[in-house]
Amino acid sequence: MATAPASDAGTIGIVFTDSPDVIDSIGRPGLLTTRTGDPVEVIIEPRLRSDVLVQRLRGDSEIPGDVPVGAARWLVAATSTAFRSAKVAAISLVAELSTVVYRHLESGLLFEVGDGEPIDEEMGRWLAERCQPVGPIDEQATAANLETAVALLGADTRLVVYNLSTFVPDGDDIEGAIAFADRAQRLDLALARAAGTSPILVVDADRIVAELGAGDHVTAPGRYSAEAANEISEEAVAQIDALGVLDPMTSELALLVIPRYDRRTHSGSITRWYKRTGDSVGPGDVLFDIEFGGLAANLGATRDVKMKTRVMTLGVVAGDAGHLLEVSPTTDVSVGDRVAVVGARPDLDPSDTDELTPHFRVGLRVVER
Amino acid sequence: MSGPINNGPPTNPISLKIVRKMFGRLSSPEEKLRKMRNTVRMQRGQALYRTNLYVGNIRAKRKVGIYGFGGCDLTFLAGSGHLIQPRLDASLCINRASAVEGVRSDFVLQGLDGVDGPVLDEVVDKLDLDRGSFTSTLFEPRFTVPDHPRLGTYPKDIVVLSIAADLSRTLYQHRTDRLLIDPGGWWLNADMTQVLGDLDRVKWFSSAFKKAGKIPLDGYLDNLTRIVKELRERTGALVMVCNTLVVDPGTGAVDYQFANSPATVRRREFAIGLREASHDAGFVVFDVDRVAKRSGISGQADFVHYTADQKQALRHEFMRLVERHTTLLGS
Repeated sequence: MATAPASDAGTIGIVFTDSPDVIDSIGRPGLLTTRTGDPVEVIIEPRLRSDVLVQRLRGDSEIPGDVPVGAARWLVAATSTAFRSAKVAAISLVAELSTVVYRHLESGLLFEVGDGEPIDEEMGRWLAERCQPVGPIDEQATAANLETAVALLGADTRLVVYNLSTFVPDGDDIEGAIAFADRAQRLDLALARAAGTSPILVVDADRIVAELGAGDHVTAPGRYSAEAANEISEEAVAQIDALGVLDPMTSELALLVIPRYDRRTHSGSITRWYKRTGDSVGPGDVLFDIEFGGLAANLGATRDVKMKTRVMTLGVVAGDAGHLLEVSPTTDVSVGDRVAVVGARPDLDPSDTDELTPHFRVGLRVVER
Repeated sequence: MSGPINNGPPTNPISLKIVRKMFGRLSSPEEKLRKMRNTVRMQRGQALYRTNLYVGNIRAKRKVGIYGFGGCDLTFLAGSGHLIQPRLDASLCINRASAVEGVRSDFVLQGLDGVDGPVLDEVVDKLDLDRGSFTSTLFEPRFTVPDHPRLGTYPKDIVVLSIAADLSRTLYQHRTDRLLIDPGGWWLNADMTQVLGDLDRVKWFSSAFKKAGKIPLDGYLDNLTRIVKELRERTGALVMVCNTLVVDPGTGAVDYQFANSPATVRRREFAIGLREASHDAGFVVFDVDRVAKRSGISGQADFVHYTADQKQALRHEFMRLVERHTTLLGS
């Protein structure tokens, strides 16, 4: 079980980039606090493309000595080490749209030039003579970079990635908007594939914005209305919360609670336990199956409005190792209900828990739909 | 958005009530009366509009036909008639002439290549399938107006296909004859005693057929390329292919940590594959995903059933594509 202590200041580090979708959701002051009310230490970094992120995580590039003063900020941003010390690193696919990434020929250092930044004559000459534009990144490279980033971040830092709404307003350029949709679709697919093989958490901005109606809630790539940003924020915070990083994480005991799958699921039935009291569990072990039902939605037919009900069975999977100290016999459960206590050691007393006891990290796996 | 659709006042509504009272709802006389009423309406210059059919301006000499071949996701199509007909100096017929269980690409090509023999006879008999569903009318250059053969045939100026069946339908293949069948979805809502009432038939099905599974993307694109080629050669039609909403409405997984949602990944793969194949294969992509997201997906039950607002937005997008890719509506 993860028992990482809080940082020296009693807070937990989350680093995220200043992409508009990320800033507008989890970048709001005071939004991220621990369960005990302590503010979470937040570091905001300039947005960066996945190839620049990987290079930064490798940490094997140094700022070359020939950099003009005006260009220094680009390279300083490219060599920051904040990501390597954070508990959570949140980035956005918006950065993948950047076409202004350069490679310093001598050092190999990748860096981004901010959109619309003034470039004086000296900086322009340095860019032209000592650097090479890298050009746009393709989706395969994005997927590979994200997987590499996860590996470089290691088990102590979780990568959260915002996908892209595939919609942008068309205005007078419908073909341009369709071309953007195509590009965003490819990037979202690359992320989904990477998340299928690496422990990347996806903030599904594409779906959230579409639920609200992208036509009214997207102003530009990665820029959403306040209402959409609220919805995205809710999901992003839930994602980060599910990781346990908003918990103080000072206890050797953890509560296993029913995780939330989506906004329409509130209750369900545990159909099968795979572990019993006293069993040890490891990351990836299926603990129990839960059936969420009663998902009803309006088919939207104009004349005959039909109702459809769906039942979904999900396997609840352990995210950490531990020992099941207590298992509740309850089968009918609601999201957030405590169903078990997990301890770092088998000899701990499960009654030493309260509402501030951190939650055991779990995931969900689709069993049957 | 256009205003509400108005087909004019109903023709003699009293008579329909009387027929219903005498023979019950949806009786054969009611059906005949409906056809007669529709014919009278059309002769008066009104359009005939049903869920899957639009016929307008039947007195015009020139005819324009739009033929939809797909599942429920194409039910928006017929309503486009109200947008397109006023711009046409011709009689317009839009017909979605299919159900989702007959339109998966490998099943369609099986029909094109021809299928016959004792195995088909046995399958049709035992599963109560329509023999006609094994011989696709998709590739015929003209189509008739359902229930109104006197209106003659319409050309297939535009054929609208959908990716939905290839995304979602599972076919079954005969173990020796290799015949593909799609048993259809009727049994999902049927009385289980009816479905399982004949256990001999169930046993026969499980011994004679194996699950063919879902079609892989490469297989779909190969099939689609051939279908479009045959369609263009045989009908001269502009071919449009609709993608679907790629995300699952209302099922946002908050914790994707170990979640595996192959369906949405598959939809994105197919949407991208469709775009990549469109240029060489010579078809137009109808980006339904984009239109559905723009309108808002919260009212959708699943990825292929669209709300009334979404359908209206899809009609406008269809109109835009018709304007852009054909000369039917003039400059």
